[in-house]
Amino acid sequence: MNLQAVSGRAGVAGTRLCAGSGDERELRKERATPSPGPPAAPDTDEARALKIVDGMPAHAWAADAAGQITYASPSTFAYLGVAQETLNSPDGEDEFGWRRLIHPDDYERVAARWRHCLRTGDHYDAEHRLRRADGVYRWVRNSGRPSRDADGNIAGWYGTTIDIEDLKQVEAELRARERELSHLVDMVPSHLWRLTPDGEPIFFNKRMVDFLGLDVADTDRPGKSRLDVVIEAVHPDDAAAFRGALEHCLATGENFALRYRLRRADGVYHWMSSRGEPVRDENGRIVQWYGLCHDIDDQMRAEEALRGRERELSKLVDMVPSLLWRLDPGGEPIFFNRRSIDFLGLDASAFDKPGTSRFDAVIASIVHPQDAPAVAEALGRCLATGAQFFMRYRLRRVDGVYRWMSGRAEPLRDDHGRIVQWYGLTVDIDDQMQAEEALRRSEHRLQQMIDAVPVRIWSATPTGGPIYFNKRYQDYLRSVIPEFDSLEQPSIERFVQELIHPDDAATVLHTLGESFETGSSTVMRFRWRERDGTYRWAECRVEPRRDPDGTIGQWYGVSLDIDDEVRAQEALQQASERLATATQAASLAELSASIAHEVNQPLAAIVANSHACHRWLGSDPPNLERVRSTVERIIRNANSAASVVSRIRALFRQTIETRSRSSLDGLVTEARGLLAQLAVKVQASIQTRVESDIPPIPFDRVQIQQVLINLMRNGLEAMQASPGPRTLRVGARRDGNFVRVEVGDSGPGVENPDKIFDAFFTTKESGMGMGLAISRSIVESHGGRLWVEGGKGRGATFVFTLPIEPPDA
Amino acid sequence: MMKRMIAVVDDDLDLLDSLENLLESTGYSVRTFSSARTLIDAGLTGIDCLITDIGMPEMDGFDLYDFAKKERPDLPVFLITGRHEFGDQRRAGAKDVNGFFRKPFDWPALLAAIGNVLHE
Repeated sequence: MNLQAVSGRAGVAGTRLCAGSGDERELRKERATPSPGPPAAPDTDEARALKIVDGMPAHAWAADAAGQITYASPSTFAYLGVAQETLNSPDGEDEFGWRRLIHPDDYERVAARWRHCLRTGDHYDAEHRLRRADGVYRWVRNSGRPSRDADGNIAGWYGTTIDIEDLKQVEAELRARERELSHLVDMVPSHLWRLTPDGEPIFFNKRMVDFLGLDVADTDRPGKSRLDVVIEAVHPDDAAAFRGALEHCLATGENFALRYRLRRADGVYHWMSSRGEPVRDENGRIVQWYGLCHDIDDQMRAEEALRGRERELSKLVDMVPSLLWRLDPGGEPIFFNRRSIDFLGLDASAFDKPGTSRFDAVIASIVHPQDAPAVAEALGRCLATGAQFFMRYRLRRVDGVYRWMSGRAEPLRDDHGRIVQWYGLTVDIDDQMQAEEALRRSEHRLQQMIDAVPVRIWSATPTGGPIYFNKRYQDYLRSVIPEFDSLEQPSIERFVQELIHPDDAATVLHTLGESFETGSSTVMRFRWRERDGTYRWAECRVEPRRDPDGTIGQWYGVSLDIDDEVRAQEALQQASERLATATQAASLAELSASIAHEVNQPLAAIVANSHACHRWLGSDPPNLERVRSTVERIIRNANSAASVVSRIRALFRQTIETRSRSSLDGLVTEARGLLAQLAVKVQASIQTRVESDIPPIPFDRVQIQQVLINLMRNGLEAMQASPGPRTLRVGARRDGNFVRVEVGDSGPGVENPDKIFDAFFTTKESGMGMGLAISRSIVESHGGRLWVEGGKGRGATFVFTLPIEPPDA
Repeated sequence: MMKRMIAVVDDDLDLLDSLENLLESTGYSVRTFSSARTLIDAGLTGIDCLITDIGMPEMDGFDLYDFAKKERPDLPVFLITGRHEFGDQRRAGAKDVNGFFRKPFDWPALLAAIGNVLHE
């Protein structure tokens, strides 16, 4: 500005050209403005020329062929602040004499060019910075042209120097902006392009070039349009659409917008979203097409993935074997999945009945009439309170069959906690319900059975801790242990103590303990205490249930009332004992009677004959003939009596062959059992004690039992009338080579110990007096002895012995 | 005077012989039978008194008593037995027997009883 002002005033005449050597950039060496000049000189050509030169808004200069400045317009010196003399004063350092006026960074370039032009005659054009008088460097454009003489040799140079500082600045700004713009164009994450009105590409931005791997220039291929080459990069599936769309736009001027796949330099196709718009001139004619192409591959893939997920999700929603549904906050159904629609045979429009809300209509039409009110009520409450909905109800399937369903719904809330929607899930649980129902029925039946069977059933942990009692058992337990229900830890021990007969309790505990310890099943008989204090016999069986690996999972027990059976058995036993006793008593009596009869007959005959004999002797005269025959008869009778006794002895002796070694222990126990009834009757107890060192001995079991029973019976009967404790002691022990058996009573004792073993001696009214005699015979036939110890008033002890070794027959 | 005829029935021959001997030594005529059947077969005609054992096979003394009382209600009958059965005594007591004797008997008592019956 300043320069121009200065330049503007340059126009002073009198500036003279310095003698320039010519081959140097021209400098307008302005002479001092007040340089003398004829102000009113006549207008000669030269003067006119000078006037023009000085009037130019530039510095004019002339140089000689060597480049020395020979002239500068007057304003030049003022501008530079130098005197003309100082301009052309070259020295060793300053070749042309203006070095100090040129910016040091520019001088070498400018000087080299000037030298080149001086030598070759080329036009000199250079831009550089020139120091102004105030020391400020300003850009100038220096231009010089050679003038030649008639021979064509360079005679000198004429030139101008124009201040272009402002221009330079504008240029720099422009360049910077352009750089920025170009940067922008290259940097935007999009492809930018430009087409000619007929569609030929004329510009791709850098990104697009990098993407395609080719620049616009590379699309120039023989025989093909540039557009064809570009379209080659479009995915074959999209190429036709791309060409069609573009051609349509080119023809109509409509905006272009298309998605297509474009091949990247590495051969991979990317989805692109491209848009193009025409730029028109003031006449509305399309000048160019500008376009933008955006890589949307990631987005497309994400969208594709999203669509895929959505498809999957929707498939899932339709495929899950459940009914899914959605309600709006007011309960209006807004979605049913495929299965819901298929299951219910829905036609959504069917619910739009006038007068009823859709909610009620849906419930009324699909829920079982018995369940519908409850469902409507519950769902309505949930809708009102936002509470989770959960219910079982029957839904009508499309075929009209009602099936049990389990329905569940939860609200979806927004950030403010407001319910946006209800999501519902309904699962068909009909089969499950049926199964459950069947199971319940079956369980009920089983439970009824378990409670009904007349058995006490229980189960216990592997270590015997009670787990379960059936109802019968519980009823019983409650009746006997009033606090049963409040027992925290019922223990078997406690039950046994409280419920089982004291005589059985220890055995039961022991047996159970052993079972639990060894894992073996067991059977016991014991007496339960009943509510009324009586005891009843029961049989209890305990068995473990084992897991597949063999460990005990639980114990099961049943207890069966066998009281009647046991009592019946007892009665039977007693009856059988009575029968046995009776039989034995009968056999003994029979034996006695038979013996008596056998002996009586000859005895009676003897007596009769004796009387007869007496009479025959007493007759007058004595009938001796008859006496003799009578005496003969008497002898015969006596022999026959003796033979009876012999026969009896022989009878006992015969059985010695059938003797076998037996245990006395069993015999005593048996005899005791047979006489138990009698003992009860006479209120006596029987104590038996058989030493364990007694070996089995040979004896006739039937006979010795007869003896033992006979002695015991005698003892019991003897005590019948005696006061005080009545005890019959039966003992057996070894005594040398004999076994000694004692039967002692606490009766009145024996008055005639010598006679009691005689036949027909008896102290009993009903007795025959044969028992002891026969007993002694039997014992003696076995090689033993039978006697009685103890006198009158001290009780009697009958003792018999049997040899351990059999007597020699 | 005709000797009185006494019939004796017993399955024991020794006793039968001894009774015949005793009664004959006392002055009676005696007919012995080893069973009730043989007496019935022979008939009761001419018999003044009957002595029979109770325990006999087939027809016992009670049956014979019943038979005899049916035939000859006035015939004196004495029962004797070797058995010791209370039942016998009770049954005998229930009948209109002239005497019930157990063996071995008090023979003089038997003879006295017979004498009483026959000499009345």
